[in-house]
Amino acid sequence: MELLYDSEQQAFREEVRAFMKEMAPVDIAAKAHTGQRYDKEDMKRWHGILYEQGWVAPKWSKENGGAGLDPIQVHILDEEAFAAGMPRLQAFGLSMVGPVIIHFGDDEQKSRYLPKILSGEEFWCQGFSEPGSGSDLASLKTRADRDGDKYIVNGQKTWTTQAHIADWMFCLVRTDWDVKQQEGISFLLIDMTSPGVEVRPIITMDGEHAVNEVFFDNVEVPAENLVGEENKGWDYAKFLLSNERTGIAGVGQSKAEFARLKAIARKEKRRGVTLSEDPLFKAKLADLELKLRALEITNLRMLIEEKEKGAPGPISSILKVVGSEVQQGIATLTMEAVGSYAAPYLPESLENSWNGEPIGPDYAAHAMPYYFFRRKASIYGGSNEIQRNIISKHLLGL
Amino acid sequence: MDFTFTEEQSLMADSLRKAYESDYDFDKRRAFLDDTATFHSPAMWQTLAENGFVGLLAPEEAGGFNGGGAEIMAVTAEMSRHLALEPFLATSVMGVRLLVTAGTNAQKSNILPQVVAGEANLAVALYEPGQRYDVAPQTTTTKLDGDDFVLNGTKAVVVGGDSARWIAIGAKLEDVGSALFLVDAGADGVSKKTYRLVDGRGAADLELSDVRVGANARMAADDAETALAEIEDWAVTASLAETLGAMEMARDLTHEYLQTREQFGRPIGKFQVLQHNMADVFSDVEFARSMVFWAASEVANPDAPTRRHAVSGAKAFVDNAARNIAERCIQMHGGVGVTDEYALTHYVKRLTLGQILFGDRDEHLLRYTNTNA
Repeated sequence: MELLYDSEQQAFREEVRAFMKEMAPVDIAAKAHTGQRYDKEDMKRWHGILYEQGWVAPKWSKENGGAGLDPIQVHILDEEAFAAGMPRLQAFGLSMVGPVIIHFGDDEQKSRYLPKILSGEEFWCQGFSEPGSGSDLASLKTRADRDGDKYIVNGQKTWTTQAHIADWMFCLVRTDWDVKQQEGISFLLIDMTSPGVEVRPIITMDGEHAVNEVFFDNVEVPAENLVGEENKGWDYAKFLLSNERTGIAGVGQSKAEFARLKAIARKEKRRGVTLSEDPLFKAKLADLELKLRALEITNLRMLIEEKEKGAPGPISSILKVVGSEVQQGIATLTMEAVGSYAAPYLPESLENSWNGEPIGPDYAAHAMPYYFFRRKASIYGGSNEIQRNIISKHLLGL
Repeated sequence: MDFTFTEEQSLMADSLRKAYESDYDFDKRRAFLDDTATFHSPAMWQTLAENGFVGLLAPEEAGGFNGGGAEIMAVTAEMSRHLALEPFLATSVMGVRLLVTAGTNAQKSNILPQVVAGEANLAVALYEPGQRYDVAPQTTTTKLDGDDFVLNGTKAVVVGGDSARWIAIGAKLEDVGSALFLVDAGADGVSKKTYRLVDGRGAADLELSDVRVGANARMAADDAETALAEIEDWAVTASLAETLGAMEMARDLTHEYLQTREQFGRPIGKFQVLQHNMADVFSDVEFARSMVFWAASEVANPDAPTRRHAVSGAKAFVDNAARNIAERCIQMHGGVGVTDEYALTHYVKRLTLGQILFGDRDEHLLRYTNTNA
């Protein structure tokens, strides 16, 4: 039993930290402080810097152009990037469709898609949820009908994050209507510029345009864009989701956000005393910090298991539940810490183009929108109720 | 980084399990619970001594195992799974650790071998009535009288005080601050009120009335509170591991019950509301386990604030989990979950005791924030 990082891991952390100090753009890092939104250019620029360094796809093997880091190193890289105020890289290409293409795609698909995912030249989005298929994903109805050397796709996806800036979508479509739901689904790659694809924005309660509805009206997709075998898409989707479960704990990001919450608590005062010394607020901070610590250690336990056994087990579902609770807890306490200056609604101030005077402290404007933004955390990626279903079914056999 | 026990540590837990399984099932344990003279099984205590468990933390030259946090975690969690009544926490964790860190050479060479052999038990008096979880002596005082010290005062809820041959007692000492003594429990002027704790283990309240001890009874600690605070953190760590063991058992009993109890024509584990409750219990146990790892890995840290930050942080977190698990497991059982004849309630008692022994959640949350870097 040893909870400390070994000397090799510590040396790697030092290397990453030195890299961040030298290479993390100051203007992007400043946004982390005020909670301004990172835009596509920020993400592309940071992506490019990591690409040059060879760390953009830390988990991918070297032969596929990745860094071939082990799960603990990936975690260290993640922690240090967030601590440096850098945005999360687009997961849809690097963490989701990339590994699926690596495992199930053919050589042509690998050489066509992987290099541009790595370079950041092409952005991806995920076409899973539909208006009638949320937690019950396997009931999806978007159809793809084979017509010679192409599929004709009709239907609708929703909650599609970044569809409006994406070049490609990996999409679950129904290709067989006469079998068990899970056995009639295929995994298609769809060019977002194809005729018949229409993207409509959904504005969420935090004022942000991140998610969309995507409509398909007789969209022609070349048959070569099918990944793996027809009607095996559900297996690939499950692989994709399980692959992502440990990352979903969000430990690195929550540690960085918790540090910013503490900094706000050292500035805001109640009855002349900073919130960081106020007994009631201090207790809430301590409880949340301990939950984050428990999450961090549990995440490390799972990462070691992943390192030794190759894949995280269903036990990683518990990380998603508590990880999202921690994220939401930080957003809630941040809003409480800011106090009445969390009330003014200034969504434009969170965008890049804005250069007005802030109302209240510079960290105030994002507090309320961020609280609203975080409501999503317990809903997406398999809602927390679905995670509890996974635990009771796959771990407890109930 | 490594979250596993060594082969040796696992073997220790294994041999404990075998010993308890053969001599100490739930019904046999009931007989020990009904015994009004000895609050544990002396035969089992001998077995533990013969197998080296009593001296787990003692140095090898004293016949001990020279163990630390990891050994405590492996051993006490296992004993807790069997609802062990033996005074391991009082003697082997608190007493032996105090002797090792604050005993004089004479005390170590005279007393430690008897303790390791299971012939003499120890206890450490941490608290006084009305002082909650403050280990600094307040009402217990001592004065020099010639070459002797004379002690007066009261000590509250001394875990293992029922069977201890030697009890460590802190007292206020004029011009010095405080001092720590290892007192013969049978000395003139020591009166004990012994009782069982809610989980069946023995404890005592002590009344000291002009208890005269020689200078050789004084321990080698500069002051009582620093030494006692360290022992309290070891006690908390062991108690957390006990809590973990009891949590696992409560979880498993409830998991099994959900699959066998039928209502509305099917096992109640088919109902989603109970599945989600059970999933949360499962999750709570794993996060608590992570925090027990944290406490166990820091309890021997020579930097006191670092040690305390981890131990108290873990305690504040695990207490919460323990209460949630205990109450949910009772609720999922329904009526049988509150009966004395069913093992669950005995694990619940231990889970509940853990929340108030050696500092409650508020106390440890305060300590955690006060040692925050």
